Amino acid sequence: METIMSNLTAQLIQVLSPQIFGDHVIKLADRPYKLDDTDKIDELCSMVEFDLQAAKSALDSVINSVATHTMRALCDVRIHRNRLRPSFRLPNELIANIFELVEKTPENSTQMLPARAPMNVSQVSTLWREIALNDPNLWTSISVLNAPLHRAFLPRSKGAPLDITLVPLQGRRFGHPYHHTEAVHDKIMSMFPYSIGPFIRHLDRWRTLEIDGLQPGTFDYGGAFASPAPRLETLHVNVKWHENNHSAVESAISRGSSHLFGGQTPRLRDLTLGGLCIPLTSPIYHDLNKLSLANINFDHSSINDFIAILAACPLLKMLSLRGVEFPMFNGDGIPPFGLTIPIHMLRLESIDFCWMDGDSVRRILTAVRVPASAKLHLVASNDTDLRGLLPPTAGILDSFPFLANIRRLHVYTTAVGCEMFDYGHSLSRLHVRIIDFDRADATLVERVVSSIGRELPLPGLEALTLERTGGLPLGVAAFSRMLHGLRSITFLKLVDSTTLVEALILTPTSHMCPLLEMLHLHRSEITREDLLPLVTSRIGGDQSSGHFRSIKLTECKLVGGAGVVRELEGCGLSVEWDGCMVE
Amino acid sequence: MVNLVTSDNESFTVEKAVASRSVLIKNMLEDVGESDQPIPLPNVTASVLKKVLEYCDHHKNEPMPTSEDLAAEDTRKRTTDIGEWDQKFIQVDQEMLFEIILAANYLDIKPLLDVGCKTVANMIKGKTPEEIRKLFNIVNDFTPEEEAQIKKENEWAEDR
Repeated sequence: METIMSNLTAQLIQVLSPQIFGDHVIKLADRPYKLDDTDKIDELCSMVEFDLQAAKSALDSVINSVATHTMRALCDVRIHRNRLRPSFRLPNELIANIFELVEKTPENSTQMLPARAPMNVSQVSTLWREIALNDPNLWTSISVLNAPLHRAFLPRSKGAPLDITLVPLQGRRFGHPYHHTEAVHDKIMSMFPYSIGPFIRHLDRWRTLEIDGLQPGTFDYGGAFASPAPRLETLHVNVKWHENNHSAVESAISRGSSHLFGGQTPRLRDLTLGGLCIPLTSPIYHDLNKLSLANINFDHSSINDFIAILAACPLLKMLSLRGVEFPMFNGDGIPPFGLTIPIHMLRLESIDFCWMDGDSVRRILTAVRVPASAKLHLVASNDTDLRGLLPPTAGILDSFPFLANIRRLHVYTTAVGCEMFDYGHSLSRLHVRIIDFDRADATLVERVVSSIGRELPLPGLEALTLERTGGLPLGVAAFSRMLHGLRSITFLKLVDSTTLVEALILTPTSHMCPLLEMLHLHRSEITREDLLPLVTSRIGGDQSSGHFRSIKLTECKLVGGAGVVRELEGCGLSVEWDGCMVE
Repeated sequence: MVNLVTSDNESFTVEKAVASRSVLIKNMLEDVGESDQPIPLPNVTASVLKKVLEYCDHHKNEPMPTSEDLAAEDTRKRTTDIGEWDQKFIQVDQEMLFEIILAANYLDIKPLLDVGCKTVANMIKGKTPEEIRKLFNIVNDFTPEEEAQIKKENEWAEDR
């Protein structure tokens, strides 16, 4: 290298350096120039300077050319070196599969941008970059965090379906501060629908659109979202909840929103709308597998429109309505209960109705027939009781065959909270939670309890637990009415209930729980005098059916101690007692 | 029993149920019927086959994944969770890890291939390009033009 440089330098000096001989001769590159005036000398100097600049440029060009060539050669050598590593022996499709695994895991969406697939894998090496850039599936997930990178993602995703998820990220992971992502989310939402702009022209390949925290009125039904969405499978839109404006009200204007996506979403199966009203006549509701509506006031669509939706979704698996209101019934065009053709929802797995008007719930539940495996979760508003929620008793076991499979029931009453009738599900247990909102209706607990077994028939029930806290009134008469409809129970647990035991005493006129085998009293103030008539009537009494075998007493301080236990055992009863008694 | 011969000419005699975890071997056995002929596996060395057979033996009683199982996978969300035994099994050096993946791919053992790919995915997850290079002993082989493009992409990422 030194010799090359030395020779080149000598040659350039010889060519470019003028030499002066006497007063009139100057040699340049061994060529003599006779010079007799300053103009000619200036001309020669300019020529030399020009040649010098030309030589510099040529040298720069040579150096650049050599550098580029050398760098390329170096890259080739490094590529070759990388190929020797075990990780590079995998076929490209396996490497692409690994990249997709990294990309599709939920954790990826909460990573810092430089550490997120696919950006990270595409910046590791030439081969990995080539594989990543040629795998459209790697570039289809647009979230709050990588939305600013749409210029890279959209072209690289080519024609693949897009999953757009503008949902605030929860928590803090891998050093990515939550407030940072929250700020990005808020910025995107504040600029909506402008911020969705880059994705709108790819609407024909949207597969998922999930938007959370949208400002009311910013979802553009008729403009940006008017084109068909032939690949859309999942649509979740939740409008930001405002204390004074928490429900979207259907108006004459929003009727136009039935043209959302041009009414063409043939693949849509999963629809969630929170605080966003799309009229129930829209074809967007057809052929769904999951439907969840929240905080919507349908002023124009009717309950019949909703029932028509259920008929149009024969494969529906999950149905959730929360705070959804339908117009009050005026009798016009609304068929009476039981006269509609039942809708058999063979795939239905769960129904979840919360804070709904009882009549609407009742009409929907009357219209459907669900599989025995379906789960039901109901939270009524205000003072609606079971009678006001459930379909007429005559058909309820047809509508909800899982009720026949319920083996255990837990009735829980409390004065805390605002829910009244909580959930039941099919597997083997049913919970009925009665929570008296502000104790507005003192009869509510009795009305609900007394309707269990009748309005809510449970023909296969074996175990019943009644738990009372908060001192809500529940009399023996209402308790007896419940037991009257639950004749198959073999286990009964009463918590915080003393007087109700009276209903269990067998008499010629009262024969509750004929199959009862075990009684568990917990936190009861029952005394020996209350207990003995019950035990003697069930063991050896005239009305005894011979099933009653054991009693369990826990935290029953007034029961009377070991002597009473021995007395009960003397009656042929198995007794379990925790030793709790008044000190 | 089935006799398998590796690329380095070592023989392994294994139960048919174990060997049949490989769809490749299972199809070969079905094609040739009952035979004592050894099955050559020219793409797998003895040390790798030993590990693969350890996996197959442990999972020999599990149902084989069906085409319906594969079709039911949600392509939008995937998991890189690996079972406890599989995690311990795959704790090998990188050389062996990638050889197992290659062997699982060649022998068509989808669950083992999944375990291998998920393991590599977990190694990559959350790492920067430089950290990934360090992990796999890879050098930056980008041309200056590619470097310039990458720099531009990273500027987009900062452009909020």
